[in-house]
Amino acid sequence: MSSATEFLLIGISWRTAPVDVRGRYAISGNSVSDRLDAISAIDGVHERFVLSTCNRTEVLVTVSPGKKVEDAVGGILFAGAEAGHVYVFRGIQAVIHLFRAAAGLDSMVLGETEILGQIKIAVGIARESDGLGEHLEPLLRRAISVGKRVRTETAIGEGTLSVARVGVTLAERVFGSFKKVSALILGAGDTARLVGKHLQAAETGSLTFANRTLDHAESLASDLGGLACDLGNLKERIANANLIFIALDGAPNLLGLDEFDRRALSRRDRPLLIVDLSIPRVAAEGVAELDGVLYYDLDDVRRIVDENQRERQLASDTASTLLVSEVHKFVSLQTYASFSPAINKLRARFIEVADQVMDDVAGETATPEMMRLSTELSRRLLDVALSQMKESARHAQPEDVLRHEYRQFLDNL
Amino acid sequence: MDTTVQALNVFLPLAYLVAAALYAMVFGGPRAPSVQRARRVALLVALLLHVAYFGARTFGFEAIPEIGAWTALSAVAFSTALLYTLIARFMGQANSGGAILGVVFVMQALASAFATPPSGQFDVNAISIMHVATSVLATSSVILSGIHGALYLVLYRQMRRRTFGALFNHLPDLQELAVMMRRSSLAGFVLLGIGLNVGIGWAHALDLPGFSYSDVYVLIILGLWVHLGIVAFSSKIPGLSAWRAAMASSLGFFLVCSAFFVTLTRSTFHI
Repeated sequence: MSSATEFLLIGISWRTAPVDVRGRYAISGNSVSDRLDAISAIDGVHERFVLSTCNRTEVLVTVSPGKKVEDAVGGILFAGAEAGHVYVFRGIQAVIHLFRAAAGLDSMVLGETEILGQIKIAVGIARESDGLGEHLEPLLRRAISVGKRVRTETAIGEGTLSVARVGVTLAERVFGSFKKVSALILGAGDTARLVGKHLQAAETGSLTFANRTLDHAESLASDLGGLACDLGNLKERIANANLIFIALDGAPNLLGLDEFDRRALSRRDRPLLIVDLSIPRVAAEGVAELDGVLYYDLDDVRRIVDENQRERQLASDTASTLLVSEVHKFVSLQTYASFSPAINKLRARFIEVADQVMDDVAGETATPEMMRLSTELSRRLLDVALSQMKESARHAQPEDVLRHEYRQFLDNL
Repeated sequence: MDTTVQALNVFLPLAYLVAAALYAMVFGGPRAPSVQRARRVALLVALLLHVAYFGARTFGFEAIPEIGAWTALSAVAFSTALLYTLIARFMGQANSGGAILGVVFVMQALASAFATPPSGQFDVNAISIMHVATSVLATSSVILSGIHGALYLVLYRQMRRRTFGALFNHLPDLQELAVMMRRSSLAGFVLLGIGLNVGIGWAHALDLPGFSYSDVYVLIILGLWVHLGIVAFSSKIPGLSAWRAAMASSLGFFLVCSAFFVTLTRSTFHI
């Protein structure tokens, strides 16, 4: 970072504040520009950026070193907030926090991808409000690229963590595309609705909602598109389905072995997939063993969720290593960029000295070859000086020091 | 030239092994874009080395390479790798690469180990080229169909047992594996149909000594052709589920191996 400016990040998130507090300080899209304008009026604040999602509201600014602007900036976004709900990061710690947020490492659902899109939108708003300049622009650009890199090179975003979504993922492993799939959803509660939404989004060929109370099934069918029926004549409905989701509570063994035509099942081209998300299980013992049936209950689905969670946790270690190296790269570039005025002066001085020497030695008799020699010599000497400066920029904040800083950051979370 | 062939005999299988290992690495989880690029480059290098290998054998021994069973196996390895490259490029289906290139490595390693300089000349004409080319491509199609069928069975078994490991997470879905298996079989059915008929016509035209419809090699190939047709159209045959077709497809792979073994040991006319 340049010595003439410092990063300051103030925010509240799911880590520090409950949902009602977060809701109180969330800023709608239209108001973000107003807040950015208000922040710009604070003395000592140069650049500014505001990010507001359902899980976090944060402001990132560059300030003149030594300027105490926390209260003024915090007053615009978090007036009246309890001290324990608000966090403040300065300098490298602010950079680390931003990179972690972009990578999904600071998200409630580890590795979620939505945050990256939200940062991009917030960057657009800050840019339109002239909030970004020579420090925040490259920092945010780098944060977005770090977010992408972490998701591409680690398993942080792999595997879903929602039970309904995992159920649909299981179906994806069988059918690939849902366009030719005929899905039967037993139940009309929240889980059935969520599964229905996922299946509708996946462009499922046909959706049928079956429920004890026909009205509820009809309401779901009209909301999500599809057919509605009661729980009568299940055998025929099962015979016509490729995929069955069960989200019916208090109906143990409703789906008995008699509801399945075993001969027809074994002759089907594609297996019949049954995902039973009910407690207790709705499918009778033995359904899972039928030929041509792939059966999963809530325990299986939870096992996948837990495994995904575990894999994301493991991936977060790799992501952290990658993140430290990205912070190091950014800090080195910033340090080198801060040398820019000195480099310009040095370049001018080198040319001046070369010209002087040429005048002293050869004067009017200088030939084009001598001039070329003098220019080439000064250029090469300048290259030596610049590579030394680059090297010192790289070591201005060594990677192991940053690693230590990162560990401290995690300890303080 | 003999030294070049010797060197390529060693380096070619190694190149396929490296490509297979890189594809398997990417299969195991997300990797840096450099590894993703490296696997494509490794496969391309292996294919180019293979072309060089054929070139070296052709010019070194002054005979086209597909003159013996082992060099024909090398041609099958090449066409399998080439077909896989096209599948990965145009269908975006790269996750079976480790398994397919693993089989290619084994085929090329055997070909490199046992291929000898040709003992006779091969009558190069339009008919012979068509017979060899369609037969080699058909064999590759059978291999691809067999591998996809075997992967289908593995994934299906994992899903029945409710095992959610790396294979469950990274193999193509069951439907895609079934489609790949059937399309490969269909390609094999068409190509082998051409190769078989051209070969029989050619044998009659030459009045080939030893040729007979009751020759064990001819019978196996006819069986394989019927088998390919059944797998290719299995979705239209009542009672033949994708799982059963996958079993049959994997069996096709063994039929090809049998045909190869018979060529080496029992056939009275086929080289």
